[in-house]
Formats: sequence, C-alpha cells, structure tokens
Amino acid sequence: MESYCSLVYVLLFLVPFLLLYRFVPGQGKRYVLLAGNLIFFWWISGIRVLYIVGTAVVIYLAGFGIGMLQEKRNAALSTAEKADRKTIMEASRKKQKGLMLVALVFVLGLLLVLKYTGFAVEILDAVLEKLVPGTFLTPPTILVPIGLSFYTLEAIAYLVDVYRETVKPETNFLRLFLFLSFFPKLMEGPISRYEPLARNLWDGGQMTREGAIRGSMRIFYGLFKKVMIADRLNPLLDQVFLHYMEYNNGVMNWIATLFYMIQLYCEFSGNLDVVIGSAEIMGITLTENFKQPFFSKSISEFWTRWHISLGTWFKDYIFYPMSLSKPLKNLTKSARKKLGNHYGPLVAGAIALFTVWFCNGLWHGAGWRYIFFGMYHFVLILCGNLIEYPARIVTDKLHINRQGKPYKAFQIIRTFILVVVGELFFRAHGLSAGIAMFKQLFTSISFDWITTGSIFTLGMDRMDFVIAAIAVLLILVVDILKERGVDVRGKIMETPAPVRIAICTAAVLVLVMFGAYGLNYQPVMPIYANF
Amino acid sequence: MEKLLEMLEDLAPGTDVATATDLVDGHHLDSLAILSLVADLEDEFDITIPAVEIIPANFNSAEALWAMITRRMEE
Amino acid sequence: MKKNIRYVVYVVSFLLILSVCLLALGEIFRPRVTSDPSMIRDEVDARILTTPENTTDILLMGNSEMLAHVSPVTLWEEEGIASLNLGSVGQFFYLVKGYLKLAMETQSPRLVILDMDALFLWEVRGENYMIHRVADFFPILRNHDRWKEPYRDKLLLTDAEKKKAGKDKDRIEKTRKLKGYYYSTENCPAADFDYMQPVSDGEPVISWNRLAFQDIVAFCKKKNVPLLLVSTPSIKNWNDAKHETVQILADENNLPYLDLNLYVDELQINWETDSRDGGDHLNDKGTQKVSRFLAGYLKEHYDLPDRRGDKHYAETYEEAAAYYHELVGQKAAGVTG
Repeated sequence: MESYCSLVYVLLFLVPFLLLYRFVPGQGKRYVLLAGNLIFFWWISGIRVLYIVGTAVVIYLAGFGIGMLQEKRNAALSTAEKADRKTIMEASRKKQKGLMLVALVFVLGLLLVLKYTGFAVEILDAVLEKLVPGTFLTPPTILVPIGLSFYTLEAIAYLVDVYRETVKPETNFLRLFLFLSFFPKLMEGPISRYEPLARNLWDGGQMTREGAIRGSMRIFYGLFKKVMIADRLNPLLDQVFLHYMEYNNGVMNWIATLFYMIQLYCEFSGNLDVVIGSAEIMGITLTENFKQPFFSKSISEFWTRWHISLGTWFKDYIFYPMSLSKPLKNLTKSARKKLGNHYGPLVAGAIALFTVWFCNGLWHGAGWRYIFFGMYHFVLILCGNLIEYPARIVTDKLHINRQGKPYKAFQIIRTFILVVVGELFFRAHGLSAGIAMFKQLFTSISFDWITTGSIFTLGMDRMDFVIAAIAVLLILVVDILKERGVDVRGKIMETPAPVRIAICTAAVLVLVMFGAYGLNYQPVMPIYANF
Repeated sequence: MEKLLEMLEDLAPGTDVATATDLVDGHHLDSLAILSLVADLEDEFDITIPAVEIIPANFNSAEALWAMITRRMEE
Repeated sequence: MKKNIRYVVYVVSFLLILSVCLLALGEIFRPRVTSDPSMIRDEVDARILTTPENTTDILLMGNSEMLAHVSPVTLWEEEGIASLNLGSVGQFFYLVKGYLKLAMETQSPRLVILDMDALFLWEVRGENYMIHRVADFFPILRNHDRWKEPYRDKLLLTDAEKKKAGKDKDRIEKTRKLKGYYYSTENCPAADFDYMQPVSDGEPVISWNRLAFQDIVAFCKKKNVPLLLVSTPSIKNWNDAKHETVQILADENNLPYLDLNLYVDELQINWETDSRDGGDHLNDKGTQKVSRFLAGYLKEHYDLPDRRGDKHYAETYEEAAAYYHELVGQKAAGVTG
C-alpha cells in the first residue's frame, strides 16, 4: 500500500484489523495490535522490519541499563553523607550519559547510514571530481525501512526522557516495541512521546460508538482532502515543476507553487486525519500535527501549527538542550553584557536555531534543496526576532495597531507568501532548479498561459478548477470553524438521524462523483512516505 | 513577581501578561523569547533552569512561571 | 442495548441508501452511445459503443503494444476474421475486465487475445486496482467523471484548449475508424540484436498486476471465452526473462502463449524499417507482417469463421478497410496524415 489515504489501507487493512481488535477481549488486544503492526510493516518494507526491531532492542537495553544505574544511585544516596551526594550523582550521571550516548550513536547512526549514504557519496564524488577529474562514484541505492525517520526520533525521545527521568524505563520489551511500531503513526507521524501512548496501547483502547463515528468521519475527511484536492492539483503542478525551463513563466511558477502548498497541506494533513481517525476508532489518542497552519502570523508560529510533533521534538531534544548547555549559557551571559538583554540570548539562540534548522531541513530529505529549505526558515525566524524591536518602533511611530485586525491580516498574508516561496524550493527538482524558478517569479511575469487558456491543457480543465476551488473553500471554512473552537463533527452528530445519514451519503457521493481518480487523473506519489 | 511581569511585558507587549494562561500555546512567547526570558530569570533570581523545565505547563502563565522560579530557588 | 441496536440500524440504513444511490448513479452514467463518439471520455469505451452489435469474433486487449501491433483490417482481408482492437496506451490489466464486460454486452467473441506487456508495468498502483475491483460491484467508480462529457466541448473556450482537444480527437477518431488500430508510418530504426537469447530467470512482477491478470483469466473462464496470451515484437520491451515469466503464468493457468518475438525472423521483421520509435513499437510496415502472420495462426488454431460472405459483418469491416487504404494511399501520395 502506498498511503493511508487509500482504499487499500482502509478496506484491505484497517477494517479487518478493527473488527479483530473490537472482538478480541481485554489483554488479547495488544497481541492483535502487535500482529497488525508487524503485518503492516512487512507489507510495505518486508524483511527490513529487522531494522525497527534492532532499534527497539538497542533502546530497550540502554533504557533498562540507565534505569539500573539510576536505582543504584538512589540506593547509594539514601545511605550517603550529605557531602558525598554531589559526587554520587555526578558519577552516576556520567555513566548514564555514556550509556545513552552509545545507544543514540547506534540508533542515529543507523538513520544516517540508511538515509544519507547516497547523498554523502554524491558530495564526496563532487569533491573528488574537483581534485581528481574523472573519478566517478556511484551512490548506492539503499532501501529504507518505512517510518525510519519517524520512529528513530521517537526512540531517541524515549531514551533521553529516561535519562532525564521524566519517563520510567520500560522493563517490558513488547510494550516498547508495540509503541515504536504502532502502525498508524509509522509512515507520517505524529512523532509521539512514550507516555501515555505506550500505556494506552498496552492496555488496549476503549472502543466506543462515539469514537468509531468520530474516527470514521475524520478518516473520510482525510480521504476527501486527498482525492478531491491533492490529486486534482497534481498534474498541473507536476508539469510546471518538471518543465520550468521550457515554460519559463513566473506566473505559472506562482500558481504551481501555490497549488503545491495546498496539495501538500491536503495530502499531509489528510493522511494524518486518516491516521488519527484510525487511532480514534481504536480508542487511542494521537497528538494533533496540524492546527490551521495558514492562520499563523509569523514563521515561528507557523512551525507550531504545521507538523507540530516535529517542531516540539526539535525544541525539546535539540534547541533547548543546546541553548541551555553550559558552553552556550556562558556565551549568553557574555553576550548579554555586550548586546543587552534582548539581543544577548539571541547569539546562543541563533546557534541552536541553526542546528535545529539544518537538521530539520536534512530530515526532510537527503539533498541540497532540503538543507536550503531549512536555512531559509532559519533565516526568516532569526530575522523575525532581530527585527522585532525596530519593527515595534516603526509601528508605534506610524500609529499602527499591532493588535488590530488589519495588521494581523497583513501578518497572516505575509507569512503565507513566505511559506509558499519556501515550498517552491522544497518541491523543485533540485536546488538549481529551485533557484531558477525563484528568479523566474520576478523576471518572467507573463499572464499568457491564463489569457490563452493554455493553463487548462495541463491536466486540469475548467471544471477541475471550479471543483478544486469549492473543495478548498470547504476546507477553509472547516479550518476557520476549528480555529474558533467549533466541534464540527460533534455538531454533525447532534443532528437528527435522517439528516446525519443524508449528510454522510451526500459526502460519499460527492467524493465518488467528483474525486480526482480514475483514468483521466494522475494521483500524487505520497509525499512524506519515503521517510 | 513584579520583575517577572516586567520581563514578560517586554517580551510580549500588548499581551495582558498578568492574566494570560496561554503565553506559549497562544504564541505570545516563541522559543527565542523564552531563551531570553530564561537568561533573564537566571540572572535576576540567581537560579538555573534546565531544559526539562522548559515545558508549556511552566511557561504558559505568570503564575506557573513564578511557581517554577520559587521551586528552582529552593533547590 | 437499545441504543446499540439503534445505531446498527443507522449504519445499515446508511450503507443501504448509499449502495442504492451508487447503483443508481452507475445506471445513469453507464457508457452510452451518443451522437458524437468523440465526446466519450474513454476512447476504448467509444470504440466499443460504436461497433455494430454482433460483429466481433475476437477482442484484442493490451496496452500501446497491442494498440499498434494488430490491425483488424488486415485480419479481415487475410482470413475474413472479425476482430476489434481494444488496446490503449497505458492499459493496465485492472482495466481489461471493465472493457471486456462492456464489449460483451453487444458482442459475442469467440476468443480474447491479451498482450502481456502490461504485466511488467511497475507504475501500477494498488489503489487503482482496488478502485476497479470495487467497481465490479459499483460501476459508477469506473464511470464517475462521465458527467463531464456533455459539457466538455462547451468548456473549450480558447484556441489553446480547442487545439489540444482537437489533436486528441483526430488521433482517437482515426484509430476508431480502423477498429482500434493505431496507424503510424513513422520510421525510427532500432539496433538489431538477438534480444530473445536465453539469459536469465524470470522477471519480477508486481502483485497488483498478477492479481489483475488472474481476474482476467477468471472472467474469461466464467464467460466461457478462450484466452490467448501474446507478446508482440518489441526489442525494447521483451527479453527471455520476461518470456519465461509469462510462460510460467500461462502454464499455471493452462493458457496458450504465443510469443511473436520468437518469430521475428519468420515474420521478416526488419528493425531498420519496421519500427516507429527505435524498437519500442512497430509501424504499419511491421504491423502488417505481424497481422498477416497472426491471421494465419488464428485460422489454424481456432474455429473462426470467415465472415467475408456475411453482409452484416462486411459492412463495418469494408468501411474500415476502405479507410485504411485511403490512409495508405495518402501516405504514398505524400499527403501527411
């Protein structure tokens, strides 16, 4: 199966699984889930299931070991003199850290080798080419196990949390493995913290009628986003990104990138709707990964609303540990003396932020355009912070009300445009293509394609544009309602039964009739799934 | 407490920092702002704030922040 | 308990009502003959719908290979065989059953020939296979965007749109008039070599293709129509490994397999002159050789009546033949077609 937003996943996997999960009682559920996880993994990645087992084993043993060290330390502390306390704690901490680092090196190393060897060889080849012309290294094709980038981060989070003593070390290997391999979050996240999810998975979810209905609606919504919108926009944007050199048209680049932004949002959040909905039916809660991201007023806010679990992971496991580490704290201290209270911390902050965005960019893919993508957002966020104070002075002088609606609208639109431009680099076929297309945005402005109607010959006819617009409008309305805290599904469930059935029937029929599937359409390749 | 409110005012002007309970969740303080705040607090109250304490629960309201500060002062 | 029963009733009612609606929509949007066949979104459907009833003894299925490599006109002129070429570009196996179903509503073929090139298409999506499987029960899934048909021409407002639609229209129409044979006289030579030399074991097949193939086999069995597997000459697409794989499948299913790539010498295929795109597809020169050979082979191995005496058949095939010779004549006269 290629993605969660598919009949293959829903009909061939999810429905049989849920039936089994529902009717196997109590403790049996965890074994049904374990089997489900393994079948799911095997279906997609076959023998590479051994990779996730390997990571789980390493993390389990390390966590167990750290737990033992902590117990030893606690025992020692209870009988120790006050003067010795510090040394005991330091000594234990060092050992724990050592063990944790060994495990992290293995787990992270596995990710790096599997995912980035090809890229590294490319770079090496380019460097060697300069030194010894004619050398040619072929980057090896390494097949990556599904979910590698996601479960590796979860494994790291678990181990670090054990070290920090915010999570109790897991003594039951199956429990840990069940968590790590939980099939809904495998391909696209959300990147989850160990508790309370691990406990819920082990105990088995409480399947309720309400959960089943809500979850089903959510799954349908995800399918809707993908099949009505993401797949519909695909042919046009695919053509433009592929043939940008021939087309050489900035207006088309804007349109294609805008379409890509919408497509990415519909595909990614749609997949997560199916994922979270699946878990919801099981009685399991997964954290939200999207919170109406396009209402963000700044880039840094955007990343708290888009792929939320990734942002919080980087924040908790890279940004703060780095910026609050001894060397960087000292840097902050001295910087504060020279640059003041606001700009001082930004020095260490910038270093930590740079690291975060370098890793974030690279996490998205092994390629220069992904690093560029990370750097793009790094620069924007840093600038946002640097400009903050001067901007305030300017708005005060101009008597612009920052809390007022017009200014907020300006911020939202500005953020949207900046994000969309960032996605151009992300989607383009390579960094040089991205740069070329970016230049075209400003140099090759021509509305030819629209005025001559050629824009309707790229795989989307006029009706497709209309349908896409209506569907996007619908999503926008739902997002606005969600932003206002309206429980859309709850409201639907409150309507009388005939109305409910009518709404559901109509929704399915609309999707069947107007979905962008079948011979005359060209659906998207799953975007985040090669992770 | 006043000093804390002053610091918050500076980092998130226009927000009612005394009563707000969503300083982090409502994006009034972003991660760089929090860094600034942490550096300030460590200086002002002579405490250390490790990474584990940087959670929304501690930073969402002035009250929660104050509770964390007093806790760190006692350690 | 009562609440649970109530909800079961709701869910069942929902599914029932939905099913009824889907079936109704399936009826409304089932492929129909219209005054203008070019309006029909699926060109293969159009071919089927414009073929007079009971004028087909052989249905030819497959992707662009079949589309370009077998000329029903030639089969007719050689042995009076009545055939319809339902090949199309990118025809994945999961599409074949749908076409067969539609065709068999008005035709009673004595044989189905399936070009096996599509077995090795790797870009097949499980999702599309699933959709077509579900379409077995709810045909609307296959025909869902036919609502666009009446409006399509009205929406072509600019020259660019009209031109693109027009180009497709011409090609489709030309093919339809030749009973599904894509006529091309382009010549792009291919480097000749013994490409069917025994080299290795079989070539991998994606399971979705395999499943869809089995569906076709089962369907033909159910309809009691014999199935013949073929490979048509193509340097680019065929080799010994693939032959092996198909042969194994054929043996497993007790089906005859005719690999024309093994007869390239007998057919006197000249890769200098007979290919339109460097060994991927044959042009008309090559296809004539293939079709003549195939006509003889079919006559020998299958009970296929010579329909040339039957006015009912002759009408439609003579028309196609006349059109074919017109095209050949135009080409000879230097008129580009």
